[in-house]
Amino acid sequence: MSPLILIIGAITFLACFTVHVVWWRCKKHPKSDILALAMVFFVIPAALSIFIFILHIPFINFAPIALLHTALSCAYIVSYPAVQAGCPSLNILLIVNRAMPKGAAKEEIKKLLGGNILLEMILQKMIEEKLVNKTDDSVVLTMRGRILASAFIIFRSIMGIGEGKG
Amino acid sequence: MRNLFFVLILSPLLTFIIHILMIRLAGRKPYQFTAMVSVLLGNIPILFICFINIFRIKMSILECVTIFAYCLLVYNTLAYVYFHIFNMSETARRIHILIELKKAGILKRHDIIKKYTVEDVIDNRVDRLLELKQLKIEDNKYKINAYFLLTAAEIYDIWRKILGYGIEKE
Repeated sequence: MSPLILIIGAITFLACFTVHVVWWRCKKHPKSDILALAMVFFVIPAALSIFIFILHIPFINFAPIALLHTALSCAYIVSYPAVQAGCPSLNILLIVNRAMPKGAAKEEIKKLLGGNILLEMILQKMIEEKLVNKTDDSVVLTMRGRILASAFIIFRSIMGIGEGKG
Repeated sequence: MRNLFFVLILSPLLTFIIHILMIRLAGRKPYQFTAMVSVLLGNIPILFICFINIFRIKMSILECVTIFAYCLLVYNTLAYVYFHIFNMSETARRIHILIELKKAGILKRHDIIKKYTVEDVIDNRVDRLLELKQLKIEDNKYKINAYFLLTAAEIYDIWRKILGYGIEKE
């Protein structure tokens, strides 16, 4: 295995990451972030690799590069929702850290964090992502939401553990 | 080398199996802790398979180092993806709401909102951070106890700024 594989894998990921940062900074943040990320990290490199494949560049071994790029991209994409929407647990740690060395009381944490974790925002985002449908005052799952819910139920039941606390 | 490649593709399954065993063995330890330990333990069989593959074929030191670096990088990155998916199933409110909806079929909007109050959300998370020993209580105040998740929080904060979140746009 040539070290070139590591270098090319890292370069393709960094190139996609740069496109992503430039897109997010220069234009409005896309409505469907995950779809946009999938396009940046998977569709564009796939199109480029077909182009390179047609050019017959012999020293490039595609499979390990593709695996490395896919692994790095998946890791980035699964981390992204916490960056975009903010993760309450991480925000709590930041609030407590800013209050050090005195520390922070629960009331202070609630006051500083309360507005950012409203469920209304989460429900609205779930409607935009077509995971749920709103009918009058009720909420029902869409097909996409049902598949995702089933996948998580099966995943946790195989592990033999109950529902998470949310 | 092809074997090694397939092992790496299937490595999240290995992490999953180790995690199931860890949950059975670890008793009352938090599930996120067992997930982290499982990810770390998964490195052992991966390194072992790496060794076997390297000794079977004659190669230069540079190639050996590259294979080790490649395997560790790919395995740990995929294991991180596994950890995140598990973490979502454990902590994400949206996943919890989806599961509740799947069971109930239909739910009133205000019932969902009533169930996930700001107080509950913060209490659950503070309890989890205490359980994971990332926070501690002294004189009724929460204080930082470990820097592992705090470092992650700081990285996420910088990352948010890089992507322009929190900055007003048209």
